[in-house]
Amino acid sequence: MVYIAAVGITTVIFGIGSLLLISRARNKLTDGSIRRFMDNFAICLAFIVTFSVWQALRDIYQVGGTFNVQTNYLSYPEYIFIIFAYIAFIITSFRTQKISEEFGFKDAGKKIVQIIKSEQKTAVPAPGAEPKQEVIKNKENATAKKLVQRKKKNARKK
Amino acid sequence: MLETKETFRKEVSSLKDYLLLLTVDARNYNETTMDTLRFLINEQHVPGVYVTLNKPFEVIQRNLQNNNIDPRIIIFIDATSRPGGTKKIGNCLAIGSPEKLSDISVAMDQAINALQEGDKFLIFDSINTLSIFNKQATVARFVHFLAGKIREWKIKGIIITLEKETEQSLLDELTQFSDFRVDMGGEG
Repeated sequence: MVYIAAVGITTVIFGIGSLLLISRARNKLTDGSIRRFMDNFAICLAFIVTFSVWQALRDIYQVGGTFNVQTNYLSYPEYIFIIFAYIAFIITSFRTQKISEEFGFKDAGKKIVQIIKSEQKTAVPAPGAEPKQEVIKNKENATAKKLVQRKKKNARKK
Repeated sequence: MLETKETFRKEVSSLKDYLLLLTVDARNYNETTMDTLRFLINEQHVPGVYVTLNKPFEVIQRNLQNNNIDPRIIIFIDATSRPGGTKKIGNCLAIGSPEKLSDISVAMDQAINALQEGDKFLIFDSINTLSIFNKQATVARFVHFLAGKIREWKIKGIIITLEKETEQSLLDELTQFSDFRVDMGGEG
C-alpha cells in the first residue's frame, strides 16, 4: 500500500510539472490556433492530474485505514475526472485535425511540383537560344573534333 | 532606379540562398514587389512562399495575373486583418491578424517544408506593418527568428520594409542580419 501511495505521489508531481511547463510555453506564444491547442491540451492534463491527486489521496488515507468504509463512494469522482479527461482529449484531437487542415501545405507543395514539371516539359526555348538537339549535336561535333586532333597529334609524334 | 534593379539582379541571380533586405519608398512599393516576384518566378522559375501583411491574398493574386506572373507556384500566408480567424483558401492560409506571430511562424515553416527540395524563396511583406501591430521588442525578436530560419532553410529570403516607416534601430539590426541591402528609394 505504501508503494502504491509513493507511485501516486510521483505521478502527481510529474503531472503538476507538466502543467507548469505548458503554462510557461503558453505564455511565450501569441494568440492563435497553436495557443488554443495548448489550452485544450492543458485542460486534458489538468483532468488527469486531478484524477491522480484524488487517487493518491485515497491511497494515502487507506494506508491509515480511516476511510475504509467510504472507499467505494470516494472512487466515483475518479471516474468523473477520467471521463472529462477523455472528452477533453476528443476536443483536442478535433482541434489537431483542424490545425493540420489549416497549416498543412503538403497538397499545395505537390501541386506546385506538378505545375513546375509540366512547365518544364512544355517550355519554349528563349529567343536566340539554341534548340536542345542542336546543342547536343554541337557538343558531339566538338568531342569528335577533339578526338581527330588527338589522333593527328599522336600520329605526328610517332 | 534602373541601376538599382540591375545591381539587385547582379548581386542575387548567381546565389542559391541569401537574405536580402529590400527597403522601398511607398510610391515604388507595388512596382518593386511585382518586379521581385517577376524576377524570381518568370526568370528564375523558383517556387516559394509569400507572407503578406499589407494586402489581402486576392488583391496580390489579381496583381500577379495582371503582370503575367504565375500565382500557382506561390503559397500565400495572408496575415492581414480579417474577421473569422484562420481560414484556408486554395494555396493561401489566411491567419486573420498580423498579431498572431506564432501562427505566422508555424505556417511559414510548414509551407517552406512542403515545397520540393531545391531552390525556393520566402518574401516577407513587410516589417513596418508588423511593427504597427506589435511591440518593437517583439518585432525585433521575430526578425531575428526569421533571419535564423531563412539561414536554416537555405532559401532565397527577401524582407521588404518601407524605409521611412521603419525605426532606425530595427533597420540597422535588419541590415546587420542580411547579406545585402537594396534601397529602392525612388528618384533619389
